Amino acid sequence: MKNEMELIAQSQQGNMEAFEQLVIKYERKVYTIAYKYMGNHEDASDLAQEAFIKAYQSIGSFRQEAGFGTWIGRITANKCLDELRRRKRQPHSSLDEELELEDHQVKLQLKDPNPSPLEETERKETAAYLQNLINELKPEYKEVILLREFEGLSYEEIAQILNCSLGTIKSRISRARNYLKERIIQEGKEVTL
Amino acid sequence: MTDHERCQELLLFYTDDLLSEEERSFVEKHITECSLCAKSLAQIQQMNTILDIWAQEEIAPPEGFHQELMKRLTQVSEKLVPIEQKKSWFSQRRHKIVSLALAAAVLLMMPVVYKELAKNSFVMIIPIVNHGTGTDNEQTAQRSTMPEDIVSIADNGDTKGEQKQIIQQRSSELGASTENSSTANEPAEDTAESSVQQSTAPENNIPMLLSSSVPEIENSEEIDSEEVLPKAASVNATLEDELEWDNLEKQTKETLDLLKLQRKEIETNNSNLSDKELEASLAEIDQEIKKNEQVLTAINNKDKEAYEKLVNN
Repeated sequence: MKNEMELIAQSQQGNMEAFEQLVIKYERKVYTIAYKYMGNHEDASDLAQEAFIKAYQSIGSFRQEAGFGTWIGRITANKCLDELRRRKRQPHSSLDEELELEDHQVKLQLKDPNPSPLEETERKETAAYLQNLINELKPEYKEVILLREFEGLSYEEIAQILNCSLGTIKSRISRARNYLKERIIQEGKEVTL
Repeated sequence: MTDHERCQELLLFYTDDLLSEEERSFVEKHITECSLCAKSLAQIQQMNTILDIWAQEEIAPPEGFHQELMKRLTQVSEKLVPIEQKKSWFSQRRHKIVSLALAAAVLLMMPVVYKELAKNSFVMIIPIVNHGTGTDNEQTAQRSTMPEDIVSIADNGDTKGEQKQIIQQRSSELGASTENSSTANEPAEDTAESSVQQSTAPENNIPMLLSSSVPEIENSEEIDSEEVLPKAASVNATLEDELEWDNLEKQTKETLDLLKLQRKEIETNNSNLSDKELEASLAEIDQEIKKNEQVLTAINNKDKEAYEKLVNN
């Protein structure tokens, strides 16, 4: 495979084969980001594809000094954040089932009649388990958890991206994590990895 | 607030290493005395382990993802071809826009020319970013960089009626400025094509934004900045539309976000650059960030005059 800078330069000239090499290199990463944000394969596929299309169209603005992986990762996350917010503005019918985390009241959903068995210790299952919990969060809590726990951004960076005060971000992260913790305790989820 | 309550509040941030020295000492002392808090800490650490596992877990795209993506990407790029072959007014225009974008991209890769470029760099960044929101992003992004793709937008059943209306409205507003060159090269031979031109031209902010960097591009003799417009008309049409303010705000914020990200990247990963190049590169990004921040302020204030001044500067 040609080196990445070369592929980017060729992509900037509209060379689709070069861009495909970049796709091959980064599609797993992009898909993973989209899946973490969206929580299901259908939405993840859509958003990951949109992210690549946007990257293809915007590659003229890409600077070689910055990492392509980080750049496309940010594009993907932005796409997903936009989509989550769009959905927030257009609440769907399952709203009633969503969590209410205001005023420190953690109202749990009806407990799963078949709670996750304690023997689930494999990474995949654990990851899937947590993904399900995160999927239940309201968008404003979901996005802070994604930015903090998945992307590893600082509170300041999150506040900047979401255009919220640092206090709001701290409060949301705290509530969301507290909720996750309570669920994990309640369901007896344990890992020893 | 009791010590226990205080500790409970601080525990979540304790594991994130976000406490002051005093808070940290307090927590560490308290958990030796309070079994409940010690238990809470263990639970938080357990949650953190699960979060780590989740965060590190890669998800493989489903079968067919790559093929589907490449199909879509190819469609995006191939949409340019048929119109290009017709040598229409618009395809000629697109060619110039792409030339500009490429020239801009090439220049951006050369730290040496950053300084000369700095005064024009802002206009090259802006059009790259989406004008749309939510799921419309892809379509509007196509609109931004590949004007022909407006065809699929105008004809797309998913496109909201009101947006169509806006596009058509702007088309008619801009008709006068685009009509001459369009009819000169493509004398009403294809009505579908002329409707394409009508509906795309108003959305085509790129030539307007790129045009100010034209004189600086090396092969500028090939680029007719007058033809690449419609400058003022496009700005007016855009700014009269409240929806566009929102889109511009979003687009500018996204630009800022990406610029800041790239700055951070360059700051932390610059072994391939000399000190001078690094300095020039950062200075240029800073200038772009500053300009975009000014643009954002103008957008937030809905200050058309300031916005136009910045964009056309």
